[in-house]
Amino acid sequence: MEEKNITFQFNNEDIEAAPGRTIFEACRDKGIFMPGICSSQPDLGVGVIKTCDTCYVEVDGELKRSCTTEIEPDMKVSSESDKAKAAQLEGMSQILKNHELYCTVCDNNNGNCEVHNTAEYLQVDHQKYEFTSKPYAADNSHPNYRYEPDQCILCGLCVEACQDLQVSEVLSIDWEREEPRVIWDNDVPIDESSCVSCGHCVTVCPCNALMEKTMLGEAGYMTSMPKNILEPMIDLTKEVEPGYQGIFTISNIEASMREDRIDRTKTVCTYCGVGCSFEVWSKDRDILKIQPQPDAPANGISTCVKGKFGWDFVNSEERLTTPLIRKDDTFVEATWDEALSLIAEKFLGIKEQHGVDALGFVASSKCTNEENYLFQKLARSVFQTNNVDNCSRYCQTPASAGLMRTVGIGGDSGTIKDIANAELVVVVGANPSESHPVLATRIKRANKLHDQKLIVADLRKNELAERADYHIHPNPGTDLVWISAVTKYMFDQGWDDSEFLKGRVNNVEEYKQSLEKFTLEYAEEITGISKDQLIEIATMIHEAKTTCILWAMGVTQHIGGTDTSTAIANLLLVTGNFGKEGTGAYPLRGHNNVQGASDFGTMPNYFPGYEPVENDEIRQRYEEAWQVELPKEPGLNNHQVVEAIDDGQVKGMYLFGEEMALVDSNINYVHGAFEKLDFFVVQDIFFSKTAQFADVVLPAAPSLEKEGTFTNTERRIQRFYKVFDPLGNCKPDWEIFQELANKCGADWHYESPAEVMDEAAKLAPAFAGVSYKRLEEWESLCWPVDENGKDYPLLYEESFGFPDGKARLFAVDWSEPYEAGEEYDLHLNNGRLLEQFHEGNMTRKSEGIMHKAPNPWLEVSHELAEERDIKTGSLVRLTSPYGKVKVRVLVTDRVKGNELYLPMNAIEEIQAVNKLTSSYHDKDTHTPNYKEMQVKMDVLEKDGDSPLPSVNFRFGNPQPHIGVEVEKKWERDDFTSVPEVVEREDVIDGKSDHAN
Amino acid sequence: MAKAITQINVQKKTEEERQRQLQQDLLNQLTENHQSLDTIFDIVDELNKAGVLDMVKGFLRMRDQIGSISIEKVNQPSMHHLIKNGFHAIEFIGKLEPEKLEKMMDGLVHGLDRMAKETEKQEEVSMWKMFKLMRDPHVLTALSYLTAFLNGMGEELGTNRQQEGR
Repeated sequence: MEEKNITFQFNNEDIEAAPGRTIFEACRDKGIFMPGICSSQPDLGVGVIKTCDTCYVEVDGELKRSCTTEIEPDMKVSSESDKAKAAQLEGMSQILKNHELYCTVCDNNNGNCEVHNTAEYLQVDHQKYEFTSKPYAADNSHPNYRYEPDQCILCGLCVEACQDLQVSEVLSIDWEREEPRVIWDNDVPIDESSCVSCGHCVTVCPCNALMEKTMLGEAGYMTSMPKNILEPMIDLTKEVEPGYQGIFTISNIEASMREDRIDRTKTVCTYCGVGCSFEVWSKDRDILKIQPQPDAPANGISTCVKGKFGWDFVNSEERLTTPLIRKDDTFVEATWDEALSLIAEKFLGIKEQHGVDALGFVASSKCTNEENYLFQKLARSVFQTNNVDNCSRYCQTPASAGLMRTVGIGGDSGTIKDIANAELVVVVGANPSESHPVLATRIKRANKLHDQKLIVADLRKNELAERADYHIHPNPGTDLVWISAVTKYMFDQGWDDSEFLKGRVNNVEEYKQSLEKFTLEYAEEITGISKDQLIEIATMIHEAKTTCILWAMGVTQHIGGTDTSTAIANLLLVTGNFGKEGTGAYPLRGHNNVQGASDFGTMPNYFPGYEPVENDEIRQRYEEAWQVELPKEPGLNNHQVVEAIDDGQVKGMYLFGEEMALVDSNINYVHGAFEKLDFFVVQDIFFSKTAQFADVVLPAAPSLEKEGTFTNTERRIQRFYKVFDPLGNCKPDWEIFQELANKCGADWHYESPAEVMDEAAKLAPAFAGVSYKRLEEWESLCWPVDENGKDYPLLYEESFGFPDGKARLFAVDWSEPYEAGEEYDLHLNNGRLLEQFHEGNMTRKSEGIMHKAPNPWLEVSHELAEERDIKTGSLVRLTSPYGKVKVRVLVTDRVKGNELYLPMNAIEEIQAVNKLTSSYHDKDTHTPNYKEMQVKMDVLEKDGDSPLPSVNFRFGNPQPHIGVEVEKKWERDDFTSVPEVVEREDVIDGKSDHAN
Repeated sequence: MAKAITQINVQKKTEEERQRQLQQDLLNQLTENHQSLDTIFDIVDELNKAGVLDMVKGFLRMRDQIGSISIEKVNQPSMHHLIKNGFHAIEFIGKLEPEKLEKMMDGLVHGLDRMAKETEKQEEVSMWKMFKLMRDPHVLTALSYLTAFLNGMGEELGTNRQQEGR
């Protein structure tokens, strides 16, 4: 039952609000502006910081902070009484002691400066307390942002963001020194701290103390003025100080002028599957900054280093800007007409000569839903083949398959909000802090502030494992066993949710019997996790009202990847953890559009919306719409296509936006296959390793140069807008597909991606209500979307994705992982890292990122380092049965014993982990078993430079505490509270009845 | 049977080709906008004849030095006074109510006219005549306004002194 609203009086008017709201919140909800610099970030909360003191109101005669005072019935609140106004003004005056107002020549004067706007609102006219410089120089050491202590108002928004939202716990305000300031770690230069460069602090800074370096001297009309003019000018302004109101008028005019030359365009991040959206502030072709907004549905104001600072690739000189055609041993530039005519001629020739299935199509999970839709339409309708697949085959197809078996829909069951609200989060074989950084912040925050419990099962002691209430280290490739044992234990203890199982799940008894062999003893023997630990995990799941399980490639990239994913869904079903808030299964999608690429049909067996191509009725629907007969048999997936090339079955291939030559497993074999192709088209924004094998290379446009939609890990469809025109002669991928289709005789006339989406929505019931109109600005839709626009952020509230609406428990057995043989004595683990995206084709173009993490490295445990007599910087060769790499060592306690970790940020083959991986694969979906490999190690050089520079955050020294610790400010001798000052001055200023 | 290759023959446009392309683009723009351009050329021509362009050129070329010199000159006490007084004067005018000011100004103009006539007479004014004049209703009105004005001014000056004295 909802509690009744409370009515209170605000400036003599009745206001109604929910109990528990603060005065500040109640006013904000009613659209009443209340000053409050340190409550200006909704993601950080209202009233948690308490440093700015500008939100004072008079409550029944007493001065109180509106941000912390909860409303009460009949309470009389005034924000306009003399006393309240004097208090607000005093708060602001104390701030201006630390901040010089030179707005017109400040790069932060863009209409959204909280300090400027609040000072203006409070009609501050003069500096009450003299501004004095702090005895600290600006810290310019970080490549992407700078801190100017002289302008810092010590509000601590940055500290709060770093400590409690991003939870990297780097920033503090040192209240104890004579002149307080923000410090990094234990007061080291920013660049040498544990700062992960996520940009939260810069984003929340309410003034110009923390700023992106790309803004400095660029944003304003007069901000690039040389210092010898600027400084006297500020002095002059201060000297003649006609009152700040006049200055504000001028600065407001200047801010409006800036709107003319700075474009703010909403985009969706093109890196991981979290799907952050934010504004790109641009001036001509320069990116001034990435500005997140609280309205962004997945991330709010959060970003990671790549989303905030990783966009330099867009203007890289290495961008492909013109089509290339192979002539003998060189590529020569060509016109679009030449290139597309050649492709049409060759592909139609192969189709004629060798049949339709001699062509293969590999789609990109970095490109848009519309582009994936058109690509599968191109393959199916123009070239008559279902040989079309996307790169989710390399990562998450097993997770989708496991979910389709059990709950019916191959996607996350809820949203990031559910993960944040769960009582227990279990992370299996995933490293969200580095691979899904913004999603990880929500877990870290809930764990730090809201008593959320966290279990991590991983070989590595990654950041979440470090923070977890419980970290287990199962033997590689044995997750299915411990998960099934925990599930069996649930049944044995009577901890299964029998009501849920009875009402909503099929196949319970058969499944229960299939668990027979998964005793705690068996599990202990196989996984190395003790019985006690298993019982502890089961108990934690049992005791939590809501549990979410998250997993990624540590689960899927195995021979039994689909089965382990299935086992996870089984455990959640048995414990009733589906269909309610804070529960569910969350395969964390790797690329920005892994979800969407499969959703929109670049799969050999599915049309868009996962409708089988074999189904006559469904196929007929597409045949009628496209006016062409379509092939019935499912085509080859990526893995099978490579095999078929090797066998001489597939002769021609078209690949876009995928660095298959580095990221597919066993790349020596893949390269061999590429060399056998008669005709190979590669479409990319860079001349990739894969492009080196091509006959035609087509220059594509990245997301900032086109329109479209991406679908994130939450099944959330988000729209992005064009920031720049395509560079040189490059074109958006969808335009290229359309032109090629028309060269081959099709008659397509899409004017924009919106029209492509309209067609997909008409044909695929899952997207029936999706339209660009419904996706404007920060609007988004979590599919399935009904025709009337209703979407489903949380799935299975009423029914599961099967015709009878019930879920199905699905019996699975453990598949032993691949063993390379006895001589290969070290286990090789691999994956991503925070700073570089994937192999690094895009992020390596960012100087700041290269400064922080320029090379791949091999993580080696202390034990192994000692045993082999190597240290950080040693050069070693790793050999597997499939190939060799040479990399430098980093000794760390993130890995244990004989387990190695090699991140995949290599663009040089000799460092690429996939020289070592095999062509074995998940038995159900053909996803390569990247995580199952052993190697032997030879030491080549004992001494050498560390592959990771000392300015990397991993060497930092975080200082965890909660928030800004404002109590320390209040304890300072020189601190007088605002009500005290007001009280004192009130008496002095004339309410007294005696003369002096 | 395609081996991986990395050689790309970039058909670098020769400098001449690039120039020609640029010229062509420019010409197209010129033709499209010829009417407005004609006007601009006229204006530029006039500016040149008037010597303005030369001056502007010099100023722009030396902008850093000039900026630095002038800001130094401006950043002096006398300049501060000038600017401050300027602001005060503007503020003062802003505070006056236009109707009252109009009435006052009309009175002032009229008074000045009369004064001018009076000065032309060049005759001695006797005390007696002065007293007689005081009884004139117009003079009385003006005098009462003046005393009211003095009263207000004194009050404001008085409070200021009181505050400073504390």
